[in-house]
Amino acid sequence: MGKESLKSLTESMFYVLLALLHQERCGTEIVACIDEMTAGRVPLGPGTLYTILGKFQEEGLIAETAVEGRKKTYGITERGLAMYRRELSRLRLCVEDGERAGREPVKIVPSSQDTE
Amino acid sequence: MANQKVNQMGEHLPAGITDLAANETWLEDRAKAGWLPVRINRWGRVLFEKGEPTQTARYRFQILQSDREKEPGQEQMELNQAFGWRYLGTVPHYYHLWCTDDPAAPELDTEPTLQAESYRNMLRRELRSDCVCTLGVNAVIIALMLWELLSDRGWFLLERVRSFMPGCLILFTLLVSCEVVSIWLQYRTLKQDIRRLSAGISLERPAEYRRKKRRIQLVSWGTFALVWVLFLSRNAGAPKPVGVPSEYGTRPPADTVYLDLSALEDVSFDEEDRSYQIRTKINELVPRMWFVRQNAGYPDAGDAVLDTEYYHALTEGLAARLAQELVNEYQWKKQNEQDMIPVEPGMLDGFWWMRAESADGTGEHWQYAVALRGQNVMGLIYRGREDLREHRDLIAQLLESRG
Repeated sequence: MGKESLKSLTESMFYVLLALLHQERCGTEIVACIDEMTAGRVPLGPGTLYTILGKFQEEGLIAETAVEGRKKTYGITERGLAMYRRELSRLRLCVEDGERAGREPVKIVPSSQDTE
Repeated sequence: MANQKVNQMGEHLPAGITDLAANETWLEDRAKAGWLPVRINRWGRVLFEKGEPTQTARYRFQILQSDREKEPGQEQMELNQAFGWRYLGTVPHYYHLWCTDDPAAPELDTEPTLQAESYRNMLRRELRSDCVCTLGVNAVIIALMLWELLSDRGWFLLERVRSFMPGCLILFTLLVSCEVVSIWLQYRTLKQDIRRLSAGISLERPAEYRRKKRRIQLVSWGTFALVWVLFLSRNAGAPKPVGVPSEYGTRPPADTVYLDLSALEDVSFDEEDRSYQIRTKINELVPRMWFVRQNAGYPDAGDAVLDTEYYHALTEGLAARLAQELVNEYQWKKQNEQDMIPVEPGMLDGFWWMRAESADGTGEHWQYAVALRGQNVMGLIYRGREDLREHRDLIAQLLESRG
């Protein structure tokens, strides 16, 4: 597997950390939590979730807390919390930049689809 | 329980081992026709069972996270099954195959950029496997061939020119080209998928597979056919006889290239007492070869024998190489007890000669000579009254006249 360290998180990754912020959860619970939190806006397939959990464990962002048969439960670590906060701060900056820019007049150009 | 006849069939993945979207579409089309995949084996061959056609089945390949994975981990199994996916099998070093009939089941992979990373891992594994297996093995074979070709001993080129069927070199080149093109197309598809996924765009489904299947079948069957032809040609490439061998009183055809015993010996041989064995061949590297054995009785007593082998090579470099190999071969025939001596070539570009006693203990002497002029090479094995060294100009004129 590629050994690049995570520099930033995708939306799915961010929400997985968010789902583990206050509570340890297993995979299916993480998916259900994210689905409820985002009202279905952020889909998370089991394959993607499995990859994210594997990556986060490798990076030390989460850790296994319990194993019950085939079901594993995870919790966020200090490192994971730091990564989450860093990502949240980055997203806030993005929103601030966007809102600041939005206060100025917007210039719109026609697209090829508009002229048809 | 009564025995039930189950209709089954097996087919290989049609679109190459790494074209996942196209292979998934193919499985879904099969399911729509009532052929349901039951399992997949390590060679990418899928076993189908006849069942009820299903319009909602989805099949997805999940790339292995590591080379050592033999089956999905327990957690992966638990997660995928919890969301309605069923495990069908694993192709080692590549992927697991999953299936669902539930249209509401979420897609296995919903994050293209993460999927791109799996694809990159597969590309790295594929490159490593191709470098080691395909290219590595070919590199060793080519290195051995080059070593044999470039060494001063041996007759690598001569043997192949004599024994391989005409067209073999072209076929071999086609075969290697087919392999290279096939590998290149596979990598191109893989890289296109990686670029798409890295840009956050999911793989296109349904994906085209029929054209890819035809192309792969063409390459596979073509490769298979070419390998067989190459294999068979080793035994079918011998020079072809001309006329009736050893038929006394028959002259060789006008276009035969050989050194006539009459011209060499300056003796009027009785034509009724002369015989010829003539064989000829063409080849991509040596467009014309003549192998002529002459036998003629001297008017007083005894007989003369002259074997000539003539090669008109494609280039002067090839001709020089053939001449060197002929020298090696003649020396080997005499158990390397003596070397062929390079003689002042005169009008020729090269001339080598040796005299050796016959191996049958009769005390007869044979002369071995190799002459090179431009693109033409002639080997001579002669038992008679003349010294071939004194007839270099005659040989040169003969070779000169052939271009």
